[in-house]
Amino acid sequence: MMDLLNLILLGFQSALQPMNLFYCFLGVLLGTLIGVLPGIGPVATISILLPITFKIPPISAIIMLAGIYYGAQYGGSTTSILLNIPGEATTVITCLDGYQMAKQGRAGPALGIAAIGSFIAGTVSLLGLTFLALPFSEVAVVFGPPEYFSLMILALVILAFLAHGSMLKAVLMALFGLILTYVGTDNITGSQRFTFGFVELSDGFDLVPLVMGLFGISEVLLNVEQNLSQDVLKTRIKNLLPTRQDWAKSAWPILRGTVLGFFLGILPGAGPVISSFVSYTVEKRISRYPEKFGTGVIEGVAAPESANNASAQGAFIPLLTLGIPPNVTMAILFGALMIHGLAPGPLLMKDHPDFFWGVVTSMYLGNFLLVFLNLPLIPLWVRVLKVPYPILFPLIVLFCVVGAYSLNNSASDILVMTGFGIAGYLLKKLRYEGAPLVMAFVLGPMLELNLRRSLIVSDGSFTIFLTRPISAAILIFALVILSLSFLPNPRRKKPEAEEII
Amino acid sequence: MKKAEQITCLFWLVLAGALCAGSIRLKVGTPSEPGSGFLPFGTGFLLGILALVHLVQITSGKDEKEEPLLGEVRWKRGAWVVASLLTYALLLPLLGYLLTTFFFMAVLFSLYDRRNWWVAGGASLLVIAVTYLVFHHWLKVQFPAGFFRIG
Repeated sequence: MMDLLNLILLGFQSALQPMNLFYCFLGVLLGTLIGVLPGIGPVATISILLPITFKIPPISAIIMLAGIYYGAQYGGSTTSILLNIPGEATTVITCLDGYQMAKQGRAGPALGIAAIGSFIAGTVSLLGLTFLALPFSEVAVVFGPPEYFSLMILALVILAFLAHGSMLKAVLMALFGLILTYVGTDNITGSQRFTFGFVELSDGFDLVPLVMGLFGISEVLLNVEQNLSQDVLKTRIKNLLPTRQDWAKSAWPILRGTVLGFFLGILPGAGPVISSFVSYTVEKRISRYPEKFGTGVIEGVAAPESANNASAQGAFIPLLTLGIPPNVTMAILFGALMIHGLAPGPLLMKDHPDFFWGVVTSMYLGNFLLVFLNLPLIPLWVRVLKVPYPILFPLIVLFCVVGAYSLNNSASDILVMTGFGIAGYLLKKLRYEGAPLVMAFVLGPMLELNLRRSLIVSDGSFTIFLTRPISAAILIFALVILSLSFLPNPRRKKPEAEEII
Repeated sequence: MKKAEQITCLFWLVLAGALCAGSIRLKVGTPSEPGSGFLPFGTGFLLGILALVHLVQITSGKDEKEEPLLGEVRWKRGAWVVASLLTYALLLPLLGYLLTTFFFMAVLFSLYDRRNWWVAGGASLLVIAVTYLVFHHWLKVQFPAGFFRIG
């Protein structure tokens, strides 16, 4: 216990350095901003800013990128409540009751409970992260190549299972992501694979132009096709602090949302989107007045907003302790850590305690900052919402271009990014999701390395994955999930955002 | 949409075939001594099978609504963005950051309203000034100066 306390103090010492505090503030500010703005999310923003972070110390970079991620969960609720347009996929469900509350003149309490619930959930989730990080990393130390291979298979299976559309399409995308990782030099033999004689391809594709294209440029291409209308509800935002009655109704949904979100956040493949949907469904099911959900009940805002924040911060556990990113944003953060020369996994905490605990404790500070950014500055965010897309999108494109170029000071990275942008646009049109591709792209090299190592150790026997208990348990779990997808269950169908709104 | 989906499946099939062929050339190896092409071959094989399953599903299934891929959307704007990006990547080393970015931003700013070139030009100048200051001076990003050595 004393050890943990010392480590936390070490973390605060690091996080409270003026430079780190500044980047924490910048991260949560940017996160809130992009959460508020529809059409750009944390995945695109982190990808765009990733090359810029090469110029700053690793801890400051990761503190800022993490701040963008959890900050976006706060900011996204503003557009859901005031515009009925979710700023993020994680706040889609908040539209249902949040917008109705705003229409009834209760935008203030809706925004207030969203921010306060997010703060409580984020902080509780961070406590979970603080106390579970050590036991998790101790378990992870005994993991060998078969366990890691099985865990990565589980992550990809869950991601495909929870895909919004067709599971088959999600698997195809994951395979495509794997294929992209084969381009370049083989890590074990050192031979060139699928480079077709191009020297530029010998290091393989970079993560940055790939995610910038898939999430940044393709979003722009989709958005410029339509005239985005941004009609902010003309309502006076007053009484941000919820009433005693609002508190009484929201306390348990916040708590349930927090617990659900935290555990779903840890689960590979799940994440804040699923957490918010599940917590809303749970609240509706156990409510004494389920028929009122969708008409402006505060529980319908409190629960999902708490769940998505708890989930966002819980997701750091598998990333930092096991080295397995549970969702696509974490996959990009994984890439960021690797680029900064830090290998996420059980040894990160041991080898770089100031970094690990500095990032964790910065999130406590970030949560505080977010409450102050969200509640008093809501009128400012409402004004930001009025920035027209014709002004916004050229800036997004320019950030992508500069980000891609600055990676290797090479214009060919802009071409690669544009190529992935076009591919991402077409794939979205055909209802293929980008998340499984990026997850597989990040996990691919480790997946291959651990598979080949396991087979070499076992002299070519695939039974190694079943004879080791942890690996076998993980694979059985993956198999159960996979078989669930073949069961005819109409309730498993996940609603599309358009269906809900 | 059905046709587009079928074409996509064919793309996956061709990719799977090419991957398997390439993997064999790289040496697949054996499970006890996996070669460079071991996992790519497995991936290609699985991709081919799943693409085939998907193709059968699409072809035998009912098409809910025949909606074209690019339908009535304003795809010309997207085409302009892509063309601008490609031109930008080609001209950047030649003309340098300041000049190329000025024209690039002017094109993008005037994408929705082509009449107001002066506003688009002014906004581009402002953006270049700010980004040059932030990226070049603050973050030390090395931009190309181009033939004219501007920047």
